[in-house]
Amino acid sequence: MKPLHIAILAGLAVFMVALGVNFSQSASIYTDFATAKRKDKQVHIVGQWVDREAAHYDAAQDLFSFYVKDTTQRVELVKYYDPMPVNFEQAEKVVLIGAYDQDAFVAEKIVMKCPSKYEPTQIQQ
Amino acid sequence: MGGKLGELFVALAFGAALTSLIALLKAETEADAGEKRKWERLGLGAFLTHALSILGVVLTLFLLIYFHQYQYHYVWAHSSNELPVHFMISCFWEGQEGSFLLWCFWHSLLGVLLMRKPGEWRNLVIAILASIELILSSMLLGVYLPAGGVQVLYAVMILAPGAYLAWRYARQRSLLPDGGVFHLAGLMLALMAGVLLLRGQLGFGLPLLPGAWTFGSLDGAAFWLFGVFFLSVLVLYVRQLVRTRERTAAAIWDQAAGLLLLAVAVAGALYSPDTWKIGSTPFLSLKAAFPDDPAFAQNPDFVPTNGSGLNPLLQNYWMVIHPPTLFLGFASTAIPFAFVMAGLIRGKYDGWIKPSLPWTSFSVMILGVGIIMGGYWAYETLNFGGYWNWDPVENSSFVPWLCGVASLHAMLIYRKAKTYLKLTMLLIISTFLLVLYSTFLTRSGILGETSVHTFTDLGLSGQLLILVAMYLAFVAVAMAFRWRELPQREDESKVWSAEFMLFMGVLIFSFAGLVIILTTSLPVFNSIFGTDFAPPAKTQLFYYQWTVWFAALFGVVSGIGQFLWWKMGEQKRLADALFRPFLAAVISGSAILIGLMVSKMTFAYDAEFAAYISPEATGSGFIGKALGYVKFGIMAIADELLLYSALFGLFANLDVLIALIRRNRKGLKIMGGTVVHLGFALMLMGMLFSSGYDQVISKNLMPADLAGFPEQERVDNVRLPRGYAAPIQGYDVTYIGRKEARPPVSGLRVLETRPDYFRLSFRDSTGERFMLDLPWDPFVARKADGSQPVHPTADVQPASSPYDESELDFAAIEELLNRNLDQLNPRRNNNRTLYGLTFTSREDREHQFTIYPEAELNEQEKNILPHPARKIYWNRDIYVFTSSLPSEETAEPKYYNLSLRQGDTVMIGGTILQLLEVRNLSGIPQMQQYDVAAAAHVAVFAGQDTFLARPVFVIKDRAPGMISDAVQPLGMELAFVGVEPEENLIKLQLKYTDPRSDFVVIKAISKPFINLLWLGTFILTAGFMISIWRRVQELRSGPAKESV
Repeated sequence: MKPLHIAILAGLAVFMVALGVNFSQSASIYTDFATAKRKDKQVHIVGQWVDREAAHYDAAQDLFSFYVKDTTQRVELVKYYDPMPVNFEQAEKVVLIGAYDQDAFVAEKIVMKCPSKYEPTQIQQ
Repeated sequence: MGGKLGELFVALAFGAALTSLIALLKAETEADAGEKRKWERLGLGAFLTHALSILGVVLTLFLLIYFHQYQYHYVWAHSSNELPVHFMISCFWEGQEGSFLLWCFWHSLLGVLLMRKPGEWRNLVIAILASIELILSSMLLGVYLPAGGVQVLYAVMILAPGAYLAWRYARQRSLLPDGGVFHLAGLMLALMAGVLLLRGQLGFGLPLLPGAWTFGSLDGAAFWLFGVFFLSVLVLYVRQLVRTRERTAAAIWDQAAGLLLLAVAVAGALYSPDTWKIGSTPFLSLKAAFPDDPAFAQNPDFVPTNGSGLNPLLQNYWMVIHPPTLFLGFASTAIPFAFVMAGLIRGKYDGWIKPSLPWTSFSVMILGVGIIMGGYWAYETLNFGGYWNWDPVENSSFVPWLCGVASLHAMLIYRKAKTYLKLTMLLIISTFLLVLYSTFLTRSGILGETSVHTFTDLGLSGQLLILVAMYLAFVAVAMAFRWRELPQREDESKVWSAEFMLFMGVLIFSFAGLVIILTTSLPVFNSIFGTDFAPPAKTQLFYYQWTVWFAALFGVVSGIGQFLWWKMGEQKRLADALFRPFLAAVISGSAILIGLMVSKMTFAYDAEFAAYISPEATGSGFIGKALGYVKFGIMAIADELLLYSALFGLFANLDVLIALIRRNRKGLKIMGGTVVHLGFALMLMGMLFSSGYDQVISKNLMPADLAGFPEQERVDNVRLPRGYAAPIQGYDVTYIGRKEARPPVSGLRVLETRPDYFRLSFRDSTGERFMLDLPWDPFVARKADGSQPVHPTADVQPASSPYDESELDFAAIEELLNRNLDQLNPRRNNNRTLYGLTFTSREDREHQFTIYPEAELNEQEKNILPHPARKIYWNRDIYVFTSSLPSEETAEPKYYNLSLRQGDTVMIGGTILQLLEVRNLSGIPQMQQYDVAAAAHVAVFAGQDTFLARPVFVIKDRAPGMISDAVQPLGMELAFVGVEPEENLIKLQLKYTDPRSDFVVIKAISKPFINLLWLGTFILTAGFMISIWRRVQELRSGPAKESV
């Protein structure tokens, strides 16, 4: 073992530790609204869009607000500072990525899980 | 018929691959030259047969698609009548079967290329390729085993290893060369115990089922006990292998065969559903796919008249060439892998580097080009606002590339200094295994919530996993078996040497790959351990924080490395040589940074990094504060470091390049590597500027909105009602309405016939194709005797159309289209609506451009896909997309028929229309071509505004025509449709689109210097081509002296 190798190994060790620490800090979790409210951290929430009529886009604030029911059946107001995402209506499930800001969950990003885009499941005539 | 032929080809391909594998291995172990030659000929012939069969499968599938044979599920699911031929090619990769087929096709093609050149490595390399092809073509078999068959096969799988070992023992009186019998017996015992414990207790539908693997239950505990036991025995076994002294190729095969059988048994224990589906054939009939569909209950011979179509996202020219390029890149990683495996099997560790080096370069080049094509496609077609989203699907093709680059550098080290052979081999093997792993990730559906791509699982992930596991086992055996034997040479290179810089290159790329693959594999981790970790919420930021360091290191290392490689500065002169690029980088980098500061452009993550030192983040403690400042300091300088480093890499490589060309005539030939590094440095700068300094310019600057909204900086989208100019940064933008079809029409043809209508395709005056559904009756030509063709009743022929398209009166259709095109609302053939946006520069009113972001209607899914539009300047792109559109119903125009006398008024939607007068235009020169021309003058009163509309009515050759007039801001369009002279009535038609319903919400982003990325890609590819060409030349001309 030459000093150079030791230096490289030490560098790698520092790198891996830093990666681990940084990852554990920035990794998010899949969870529900109740847990999200307790945590002061960005989380992923899987849910369904409910009370569709109550959804509203305010062009002046560029704010789309709507209600989502999470896996524990809890319904919460979600704010999204962008217009309603395209194909939001078709999504059978949405993944909200964001955190609580006072009374509402503010989604930074919404991932839509649409019914299969690749395989049609029945014959339409 | 065609399907049967296709299935025959698949079976033939599978059988031929198996024959080729066995025959070539036999040829390898055969001592007798004549026998050897016989087996070799059989093996190579079988591989050629395999390649031709795969070609046959491809052609058959293409013809079925081309001739719209919708009785086949694949054809029906992925194509349609409207699909142009060049997009039919894309049908191959929309479905999973097609992508495996494509992958097979590339392997077999590459194999045939390799076969042509005889050489000591040929047979083994082809054999390894055949083994890969065996696995891949088994994915196309589509064999279903019913429950009984599964039981039998299952029994065979469990018993086969035992039978194999018994046979071996009977023949040779030993199980392992060094008496590893106890270990192997232990292994078998562990296996059987595990099977007994798990069988019937754990409901394994598929391996990697979340929940079943946790410690919570007794089953889980049993599983883990078994797992630990199994693994420890395996370790002992491998240790035995490493120590064994009998290292012939035949011994490797024995060991490998034994281990493969064990792997099969393990797979049998874990993967035991009731029925088995081996592979999935692209020639499955629609009826077999949907046996319970009501359509078949009515009519057993039902064949749909149209398919369900290709995903609109794939209907893009980049999607015609991106997937095959990517798959060629994937397939070509198998060749260096095959060379490594051949070397391991044969126990020859040197000769394979040279012939496989151009292949490694080739696979890195093709894979890189394929990835960038995918990025360019995303940039041009998707709406996320960039070319790279760090989506797991993107990452899983990027990581093999990174690993491939690392392996390329490792191969160069070995060639130069004969060190790091083990590392080189491991990297080449990893590249190939990462390709398999990435296929598993994207095709198994395991990515679930983390990816925006939805890949459905065809129930093949278990099969794929087992095959990959078997392959891994085989590779592990071969590697372990030879480990002690592999030449090991102490690395004696100094820090300032080309070897060391190459080694740094290996580290940079492999660790970048490691970070990305670990993060991407999170869902796999979740499945195994039942956790619910999600990827970092700020994905882009997370990956930036890590990759920026590798990118920054790249610039410096590649610059210095190139100088050392070409010996352009021996140690003490190196500093002098590097001074020039260093100075150039410092000066230009500082100039750029000052320029950015002056133009008030800030780095995208500056705000994020500033948050590290905010009191909320650091807390009040000293350590927290200190850590916060350290983090802030490290990250705040990262982008500047990257800029300086990339510039240094650029100038250093440029310097070397010029020197090479000056130094000798061969300069052009040997400059490949330097050009590649130059291109990559440019790409890094393109990425840094376009993603780091991109700017949302569609922040609404309307003064009315600015009042009272504190969160104004979040407003990135601007809502544009039709006809109004809205101020955004640097421009006034106006939504000028949708682009519509303009008469006259031409090129009429029928796309599809249905019982009650036909679908017509035609060209408008701009030559663009549109389509329209029209009823049959008005357009069916009358027969000579004036009678209508017999109209069959619906119950006679329910599924077919009553008329033939040859009966249609196309002249009448054309006349109708030319007259009423604007009311018929035809759709573009590709189902796209174009929204016109005119940008007028606020600094220079003369500078104006109009671009058309699109919205594409997917008929089948009934959803809308928006596509961005760009204005490309040399130094930036203005990237615009519609982030919201009015729903189709509200934007639908309403028609009002008005009959008015002169002076009459009518009120519609809050506006008052008054017919002022009718003017005869017949005397006006422009109107002389018409027999009659008259204009109706209509005043439109809306609030305080008054507009005048002048629709014109004309008659030419007794055919009436109209020139309508629009009142844009009110969304009104008036047409003068006729006169009733006896009543003195003027007939008008009002087309009214609520202006509030005709709007778009857009987001516009400025992306500076994105062209550097594309330019860099071209340079990088050119460099690779030069380098591959040179290596091939070297191979042809025999051993040449090391080029320096």
